[in-house]
Amino acid sequence: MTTDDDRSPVLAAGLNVIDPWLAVEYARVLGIENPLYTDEHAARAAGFRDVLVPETQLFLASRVGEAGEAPRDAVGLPEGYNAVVTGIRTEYLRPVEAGQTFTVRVRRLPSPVAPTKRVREFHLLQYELTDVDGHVATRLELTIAEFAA
Amino acid sequence: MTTDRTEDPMSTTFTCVHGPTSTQLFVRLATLLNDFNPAHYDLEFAQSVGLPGVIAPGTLLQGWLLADVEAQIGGAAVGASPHRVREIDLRLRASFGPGDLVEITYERDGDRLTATALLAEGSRGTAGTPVATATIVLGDLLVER
Repeated sequence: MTTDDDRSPVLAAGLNVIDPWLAVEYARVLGIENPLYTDEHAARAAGFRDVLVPETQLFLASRVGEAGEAPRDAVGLPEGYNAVVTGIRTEYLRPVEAGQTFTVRVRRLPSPVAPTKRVREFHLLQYELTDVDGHVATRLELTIAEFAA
Repeated sequence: MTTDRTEDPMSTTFTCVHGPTSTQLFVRLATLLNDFNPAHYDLEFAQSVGLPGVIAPGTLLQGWLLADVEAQIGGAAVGASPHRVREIDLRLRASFGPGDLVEITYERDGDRLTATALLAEGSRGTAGTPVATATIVLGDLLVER
């Protein structure tokens, strides 16, 4: 996982909020039962502002910018959907509360894998989420395979 | 879709089987993650980019990992603390689609788990096909309330 000492420049940034309903529904679909993620009353009783966002739902945070999409030109991804995620590496530092605005910064990191006959390029993007209190809550790295034409 | 788990809090190895999956599940996840890649629901598009058919999003596996660790390691019933998951490193090996079941075997060594996901018996795809591997690191999140 990259550190403060070797960061690439931020290519895109934006704000995002995960609606509490989305978080609760995601927990239900995946079978997550911890009430901090499913019951706002339990979450508030534990001192949080609302339910917590299930950690793996934070992939949703990568949808920043206009119309919920990361600006593809800025991060170097191809137009359209000719790409598939092949790796997801996430470091969870602090819980993220639903309904709270957080900042997402997107960086492009050196590609970890050489192209293949079928894959034109492997992109590696890092999404850093900073919570409403100014703390880095999550760092998420996506490896995305762009298919050859 | 159902989930079967072999749960033994004292065991260092446990297995969970998820599925069979469906296109409905893929679309539901797409909504919950705002990830409308047509590879996950549009058969014509999926085949046009060389895929065998509609494929499940990798984030589905990631969610299963979290739910399985919650169920096995604990924290679900008490709910006093967030999940004790500090890191998940998921590497996708092969796609899976509607009608497939995925068997995930976990091996625990202290605060570190390794997970191996394969297509299970009863899948539309070939049983035993490696789907993904993952490393999960446990630990307490920083909480300031």
